[in-house]
Amino acid sequence: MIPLEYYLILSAFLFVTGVTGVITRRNAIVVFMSIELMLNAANLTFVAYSSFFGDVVGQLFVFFVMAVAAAEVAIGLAIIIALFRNKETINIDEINILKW
Amino acid sequence: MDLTNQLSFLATLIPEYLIILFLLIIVFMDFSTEKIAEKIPAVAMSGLLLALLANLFMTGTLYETEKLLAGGEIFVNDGFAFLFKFMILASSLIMVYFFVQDDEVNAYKTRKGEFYILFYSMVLGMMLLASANDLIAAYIALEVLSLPSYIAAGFLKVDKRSSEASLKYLLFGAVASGVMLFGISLLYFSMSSTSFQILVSNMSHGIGFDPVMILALIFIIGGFGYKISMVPFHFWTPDVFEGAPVSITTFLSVSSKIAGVAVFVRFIVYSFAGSNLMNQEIAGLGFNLNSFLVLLSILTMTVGNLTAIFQNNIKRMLAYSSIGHIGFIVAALAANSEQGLIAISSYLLIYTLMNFGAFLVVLLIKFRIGSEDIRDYKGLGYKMPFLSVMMVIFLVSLAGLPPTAGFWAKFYVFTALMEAKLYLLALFAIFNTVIGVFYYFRVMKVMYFEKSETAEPLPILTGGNKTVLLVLGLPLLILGIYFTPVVELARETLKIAGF
Repeated sequence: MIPLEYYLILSAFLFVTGVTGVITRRNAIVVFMSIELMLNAANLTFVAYSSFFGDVVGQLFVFFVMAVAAAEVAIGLAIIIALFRNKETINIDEINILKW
Repeated sequence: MDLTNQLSFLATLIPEYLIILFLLIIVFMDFSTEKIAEKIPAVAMSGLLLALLANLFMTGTLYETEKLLAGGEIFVNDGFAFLFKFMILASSLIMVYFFVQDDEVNAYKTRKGEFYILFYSMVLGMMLLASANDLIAAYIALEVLSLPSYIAAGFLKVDKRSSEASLKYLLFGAVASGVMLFGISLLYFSMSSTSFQILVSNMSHGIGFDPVMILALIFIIGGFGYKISMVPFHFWTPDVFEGAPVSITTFLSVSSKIAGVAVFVRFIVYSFAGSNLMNQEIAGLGFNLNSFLVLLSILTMTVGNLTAIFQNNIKRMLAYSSIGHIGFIVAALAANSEQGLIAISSYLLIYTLMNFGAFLVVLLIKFRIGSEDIRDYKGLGYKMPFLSVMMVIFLVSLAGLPPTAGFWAKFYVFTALMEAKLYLLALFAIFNTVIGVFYYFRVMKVMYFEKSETAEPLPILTGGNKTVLLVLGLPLLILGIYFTPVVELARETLKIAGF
């Protein structure tokens, strides 16, 4: 059986990948995909822990998180489309009317 | 919990059920003919009023339901939750009046129903947030609140600034909730529970701080801090406040902050303040959780108030000023005493009144002179005397000067800080109050002492406008002379909560 630590290392890696993507990528949709990676990293920790120790709370939480993530993506894409219609770009660096 | 207990526990959630019921009613009204859809604001208002009455009725029976608080339920309905739900519902009730006034939103006639559906989902999220007692419940409630707010901020679809604000809010919000979720998973990993109360018992059994837990705590505080726009998680606030329609800005700056503060305070107080972890040194680094809160509070106040000085857009200025006010609330939380919690509750009660008032004036002025720029407020003191006098009351109260209630709200925070011997924090708080006076008075100076080039008369206020302004403004003056009722209310509700 794969030890628990391996799952944790994987999920930490996924999380760091997600954060790096959020910080470095300039395309709003790619940033959004990176955010999904962050959520999935958390899901992996929850599932790994709850299956190792037979605690159901973690698996319960994961279902909620998946539902929330789906809703978030739907809203996010809608907002990105609305912005694209106004500005013809989804590059985060060019979205800069509001500052300071 | 046996069945009768369970049923009476579920009965304490009646205000939430009412909100859900009216949410569905509004959805169906939106589907039906235009004539019915026109009545949506009235229905929305009556739904909130019913929920408010149910909430008040519940407060009366609180002492009987107190025994239900023992377990680790995911929702609790103690005095603290009831007080915050009261604030949320009362402020939402006034919000409906704002929405009716906001011509920017009303321009989208066919999307009126949609707007109120979003609004109701936000109210539901806030109420759940106020009584969340488990990290799962807190996360879900936070998302129920956040997702509709992203759309509401971008409600003006063809407006570039509005959709930009919406996207920024969405990206910041999604990252913050992702980070917070990872923090929750780490905390669950090291504490094997997500309930606030079980966290405290596990922690006081000497597990102590391990590195995973410190990381988890920082992540979770970041997630909550984003919601109440605590520095350094505040970057979305000014942009969203400037871009969103005025009424939504008001709602985000008042009600949404109240709900965020409720869950943040409950998390900190339930999970840490009961144990001695608040003052226990973290991993030999020479600081503890309390000093972490002190640091965040100093940063929040100073950054918020200093940046507010340089703003010309009044919505942006009020955004930074609201960051400054959150700094005071975090300061009262860092005091880690009953006095501090009383200060938080009474501060928020007053904050609701004065911030609402200031934003209502901004809204009314915006649709008369068509500008949100402070420099365009020239000579308004003589063109619109009543409105300007009310604005002066709200601004003096926000600045925290006597004879308004804002002074006493700040005074109780200072008292709590002095009792907790946090002298440095108290010094910073005084310093920030002085800065606050500077930029709030700048608005008054423009209104009264700068001559306007044009002398055209402005549309006069309606009777309804005046009544609402008086309802918000007069309590500030009356409570400024006699503040005891607010403190007593806060004390009573906290006593029931058993903090």
